[in-house]
Amino acid sequence: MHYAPAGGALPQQGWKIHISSCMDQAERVLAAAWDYCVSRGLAFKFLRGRRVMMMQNSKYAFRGSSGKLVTIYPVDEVQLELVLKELAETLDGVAGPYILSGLRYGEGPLFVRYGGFAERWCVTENGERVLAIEDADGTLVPVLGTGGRREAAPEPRPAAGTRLELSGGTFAYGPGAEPVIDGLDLVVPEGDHLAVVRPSGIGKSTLVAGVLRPGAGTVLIGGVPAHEVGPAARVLIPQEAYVFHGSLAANLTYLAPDSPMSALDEAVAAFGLAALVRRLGGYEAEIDPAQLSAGERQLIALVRTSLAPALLDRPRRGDLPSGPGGRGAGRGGLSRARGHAGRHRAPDLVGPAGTPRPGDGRDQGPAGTHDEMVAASPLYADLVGHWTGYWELPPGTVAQDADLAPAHRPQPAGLRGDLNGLDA
Amino acid sequence: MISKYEIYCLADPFFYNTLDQKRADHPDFPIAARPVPDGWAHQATDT
Repeated sequence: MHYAPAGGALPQQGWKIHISSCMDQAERVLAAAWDYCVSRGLAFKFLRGRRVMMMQNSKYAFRGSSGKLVTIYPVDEVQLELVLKELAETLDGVAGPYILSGLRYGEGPLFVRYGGFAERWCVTENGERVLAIEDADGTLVPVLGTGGRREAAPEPRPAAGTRLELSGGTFAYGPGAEPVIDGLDLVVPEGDHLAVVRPSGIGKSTLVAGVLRPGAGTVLIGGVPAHEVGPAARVLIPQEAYVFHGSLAANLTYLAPDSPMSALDEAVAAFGLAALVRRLGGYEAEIDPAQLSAGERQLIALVRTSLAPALLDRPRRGDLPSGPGGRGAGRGGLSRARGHAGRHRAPDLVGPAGTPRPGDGRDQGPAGTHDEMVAASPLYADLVGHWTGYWELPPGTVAQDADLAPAHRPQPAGLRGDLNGLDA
Repeated sequence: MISKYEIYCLADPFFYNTLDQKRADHPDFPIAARPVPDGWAHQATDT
């Protein structure tokens, strides 16, 4: 809701004053702002209701708007200073969220920011159209805090093969946070794959996220830093795989629209999807994602991804097909799919878990092929046993979560820098 | 979040509608009903 003295002229740009407030004091703040601005002829605007205020401060709202209940437009710096001084007294004791795009005035709910009053735009070196203000020479330049200073994305580089190599990989959620993954060295040779199997909350998805751009160390795919490799060279299949309304063929060939029918048939057969294809009415059938089980959606995503190298996050337990491919996929928490030569050979893609190669012999927890892991890790045996009921384990060797030795329990604060908790 | 997407969720989380149709459910702050002061211009917005 905008209010301004009729016929008054505001400069094109200048200092704005924002008032922040929590909900319980909003009406008091609005009344004070209205009386102050109207009596002094200051242009102002405010959020019109509680619903709007909730929305502007909601979790996924644009952060640049958050906290701003009232905006006041002083005409010059003299007026700015006076308004701040007087309103600070009037609004003493009002608490509100910090306005991220502003500078706080004292300890109160007032924030200032220099910006455009009129909406003006300029084009950056990157070709982006962004909000602009004039600089001292009258040239339009991007407003601070908009996309104007974003770095240009590097050109994707082609990877030479699909060998995955981590050295000293470290990942933390923030600069001050203790790393959840620290100094991980790992090599997954071309054509091999790796499954990370651990209880919920241990950091498996974090590992996937960290694989792309670690805080320290290097991650190379085919010799190229992972975040510089073209998106087509890596694919994440989340636990809740994405299937869209459209034909089955469109869903399956989304990442590789030029796939020949023979490749599609081969992949469908390899992943045990043929029965589902028949049930749905063939490749051209329109599918409704809501009519598919989570496992079926993931299978469709799996076939889709088998046409490109992939990272696979959390295969769905129980719903996977009974063929060798399905069993193998069911074992893996994180699987590096084959590229190139092995691309369409599903048994290779999801065969028994490959053996990671720790780089320097650091203790990284038990590692090995599937059979070795069942023998070496009660926890692993427990997990895969619950998963499919396929492996028969002698009574007494299956640890329950509550019986795990402390060192093997999921630790809420992350892995504490050692990788004993991570079966890589 | 899609830019300005939230605007479309104001009135109803499922169906697009303007808030004007839902004023009874989501009333403005009482101050928004004050008469516009003499000699002032006012522009109402969705937010």
